[in-house]
Amino acid sequence: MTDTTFPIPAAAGRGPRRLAGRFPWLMAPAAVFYVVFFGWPLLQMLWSSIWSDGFTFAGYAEFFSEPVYWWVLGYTMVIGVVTLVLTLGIGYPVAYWLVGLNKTWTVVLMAFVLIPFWSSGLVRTYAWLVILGRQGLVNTTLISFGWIDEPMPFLGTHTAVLVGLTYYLLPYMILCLFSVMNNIDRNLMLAARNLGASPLRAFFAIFVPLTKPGVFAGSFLVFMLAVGMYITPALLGGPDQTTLPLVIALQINEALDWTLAAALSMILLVVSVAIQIFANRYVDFDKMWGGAR
Amino acid sequence: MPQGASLSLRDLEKYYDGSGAVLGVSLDLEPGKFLTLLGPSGSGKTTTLMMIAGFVDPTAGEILVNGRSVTRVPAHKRDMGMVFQSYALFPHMTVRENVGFPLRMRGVARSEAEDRIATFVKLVGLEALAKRYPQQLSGGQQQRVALARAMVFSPSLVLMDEPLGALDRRLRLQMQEEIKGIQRELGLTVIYVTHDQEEALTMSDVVAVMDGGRISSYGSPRDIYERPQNRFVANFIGESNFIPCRLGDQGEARRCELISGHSVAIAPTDAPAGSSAVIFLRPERLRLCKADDPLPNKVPGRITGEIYLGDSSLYRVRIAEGVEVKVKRPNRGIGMPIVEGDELMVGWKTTDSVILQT
Repeated sequence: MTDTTFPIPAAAGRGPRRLAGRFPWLMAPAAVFYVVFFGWPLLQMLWSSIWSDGFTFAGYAEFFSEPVYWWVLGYTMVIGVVTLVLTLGIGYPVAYWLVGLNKTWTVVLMAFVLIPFWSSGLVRTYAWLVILGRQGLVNTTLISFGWIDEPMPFLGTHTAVLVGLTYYLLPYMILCLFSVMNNIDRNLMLAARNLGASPLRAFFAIFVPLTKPGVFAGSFLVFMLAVGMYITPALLGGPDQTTLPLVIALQINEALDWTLAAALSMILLVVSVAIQIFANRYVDFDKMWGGAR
Repeated sequence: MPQGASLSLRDLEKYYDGSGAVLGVSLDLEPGKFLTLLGPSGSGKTTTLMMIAGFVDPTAGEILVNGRSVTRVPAHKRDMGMVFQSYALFPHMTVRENVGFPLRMRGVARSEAEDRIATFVKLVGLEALAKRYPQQLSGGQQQRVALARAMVFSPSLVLMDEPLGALDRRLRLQMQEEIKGIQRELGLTVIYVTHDQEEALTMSDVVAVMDGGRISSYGSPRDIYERPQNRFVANFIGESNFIPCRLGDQGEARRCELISGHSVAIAPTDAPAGSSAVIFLRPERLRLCKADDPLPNKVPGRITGEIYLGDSSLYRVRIAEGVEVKVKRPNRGIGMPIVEGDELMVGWKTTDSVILQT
């Protein structure tokens, strides 16, 4: 969240930060946890990408000399971006609709959004196998209506991977958007209407810019999870849907080239963080949505 | 020449699922006047304002601005500027951008918009803070931005929903003066909603006291305060004394009899002889005096308590079994000292009393 042109997040963060200043030891458990289970393994991964009985850059060298890795990295990023766009496109109207309902309905329908969190991602991805497979729900339905003669190959397509990822990550996006939208003062929309803005203009000039923090948070989360996802592309994709996590798993489990696996992991990490920073800094969302200022 | 418009409400009603929030409100307001809708919460004052603004559809009735009906005009085409209690400033816009918003929505040319923004930002004294965001301003400063934003496009009406409710007392008094000053200077027609009677009295040209969805009293602050039309208004605004009495015969010098048996003169009233009523008297219009005082109406009483208010003292005086009145006496350091238990007379001028029927 580097590109915050207005100080809402800063104001929101003031309380906890002040608390942390007064009681620094309150942060100790979290800090220890992060260092032991996140910082240390990350350093180890970095280390094993450059050390194998002596300093070596073989892993990075292989990545840069083999175009196939570039393709896989590029494909992974494209999948991440498209998933982000799909979840944002579907999630934004849903979240907007949810905050407009009365409290009871918001709670009930929010529960429906959250229910998928309670079942394992593996189960939910297998469900898509049942739906999209050769003998799956979609194919048998289409055949029984006589619309097609042969089962269509849904699995092993880009579409299948994107459907699976979008389905899996949509709740994250909705949650991020909902929490931000829910905190927008309704009087702001009334004020905009009163001052001469049509409902549509009020929406684009006031509401949309104020949801920017939620859009950034949701996009960041969805993109990061999408490019790091293993199960979905592994089950729903084919050879053409190979993403970087699949290659990393291959190196670890079958090729046993841990140096290369570690190097690829570091590259995935650096590239996806870089893309996020770039997007936050250079994409002017106001201009994209046209008309905020 | 006032730049504000005239406003008329005709039998305005609002029902929510069968229960009435506003039950027939009618009024006519001249251009450039300051009208306050005063009432306790639930009296329908805010709903009335929301209907004028176009945020709430009336169940029945008409809203006329400059004689033209706006009842079915959508909110954004009504050309009214509203100041919300929560300020409702756009957090992602600077002071300038907030004030310029209504001009942008109206497609006002850039150079003219710049001029207007500068004028109004200056009018509310925020030139130095024009590039700040709302979160970087104090409550009072935010309220000034909201004020400038509601006036910058020369609206037909300026609507204010308890705009000073969130400010501390000192700032509130200062803002009251400023709002009143700007309103007079620009000739704005203002509809102001508040439950603060002091605010209503000091700022308004006209006060509409609302009770249970209706206007229970309508008039100048002086009329409302000194000659209330019913007991609700008398009670709601300021401190009041109600002395039960039985009215005497109709006539030139009409009198009535108090519980204590004393007879006092009253102002003319249509109420029939023999009916029971109350004499309404403000505490500052009652005087503590001796039996030989020339005041026309005097009843004996005993001091039962004193509240020291600084500039004045409020005495409780029992004038009959179960009847106590409050008497306000300025602390000017002259006259007799008064202590609890003193036996004195309570006196008043006949013209200061109002007979209210019960």
